[in-house]
Amino acid sequence: MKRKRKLGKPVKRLAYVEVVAQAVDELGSQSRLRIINTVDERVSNRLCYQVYRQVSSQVRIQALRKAREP
Amino acid sequence: MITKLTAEQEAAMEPLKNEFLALGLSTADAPDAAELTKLFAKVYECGGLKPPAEVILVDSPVAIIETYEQLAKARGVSGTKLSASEVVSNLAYGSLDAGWLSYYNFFRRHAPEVTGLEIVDGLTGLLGRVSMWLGLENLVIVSRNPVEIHMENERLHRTDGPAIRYADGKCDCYSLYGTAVEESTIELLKKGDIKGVLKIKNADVRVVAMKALGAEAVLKGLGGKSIDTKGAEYELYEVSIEGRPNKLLRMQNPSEPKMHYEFVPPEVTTVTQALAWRIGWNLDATFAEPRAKT
Repeated sequence: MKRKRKLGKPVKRLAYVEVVAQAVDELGSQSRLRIINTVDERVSNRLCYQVYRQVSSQVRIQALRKAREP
Repeated sequence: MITKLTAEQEAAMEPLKNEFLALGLSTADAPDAAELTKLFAKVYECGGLKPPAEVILVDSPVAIIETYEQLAKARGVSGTKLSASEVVSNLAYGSLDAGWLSYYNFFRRHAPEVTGLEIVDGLTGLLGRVSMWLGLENLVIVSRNPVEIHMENERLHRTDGPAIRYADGKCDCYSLYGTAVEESTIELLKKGDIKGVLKIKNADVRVVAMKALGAEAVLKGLGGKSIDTKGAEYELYEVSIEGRPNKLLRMQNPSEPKMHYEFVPPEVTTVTQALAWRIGWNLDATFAEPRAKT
């Protein structure tokens, strides 16, 4: 730890949610909904199930549980 | 405006899905400090932010919470200090963001007419490289990927240890057939403690633990007593579960080397009665052998 700067505020809301919101707008304005849904179904659905719904949710629950341990 | 997908675009979906799945479930170690700094500078740039002054690499999401606590104590914080729960709710997912990023990257790579999606490049750059991370205005605390992820048929599953393990052992996750379980459940399985499994209060966990033990082991552990057979194909057992008598019919699958088990009413005393009950007949009905089984 080179510097003793105070810790700043979290920026997830800026770096993450706004990125998603902009990407949604861009894609929505340039592709038919039917196309977006097809790609969502064939590319991302199973991935989201395996990676997001299973792995990340379990890791998050475990981290929260540990965080609450005295 | 994209109104239809070309044959090339259709063909690109499956490989892209597989590529992003591998990135999402990556157990690769993190890149070196210089590369990490570059990756997060890009993430912040895509979010319209100044790059962070520091990137601190730790072994697990739990270590992120601990590191934040230690740094907050040592350096102080601008504004309000985050509670441990708030740290968790502010975590971004790194490799584990592969699901939704795959979708935008399909258009990014295979539909160049869609513009403005370069904004996801920063987060895409983290895929396969790091796990969850906490982004602060001037600092990032980021976890390495897990060192082990065990899946079976697309579900998190491991019967002899954590299904997800991070290097420091602080964020181990236990799972059977996709159902989250406690470490104590896995310990019961490792000891083959059937009575202990039957005492598990959560019904979903109890069922997956019994499934993991296997019907033969459960039957043996419960002291199942064979009361009737019909050739080598059928056997009727009497078992006591939580002090109540039950009857269980074991059936050989005629098409493959597999056994099936089914509970039948306690008043059933023979295999013939059990088979009659399965097809909705009176227990005293005469059961004729089928000409063929499929």
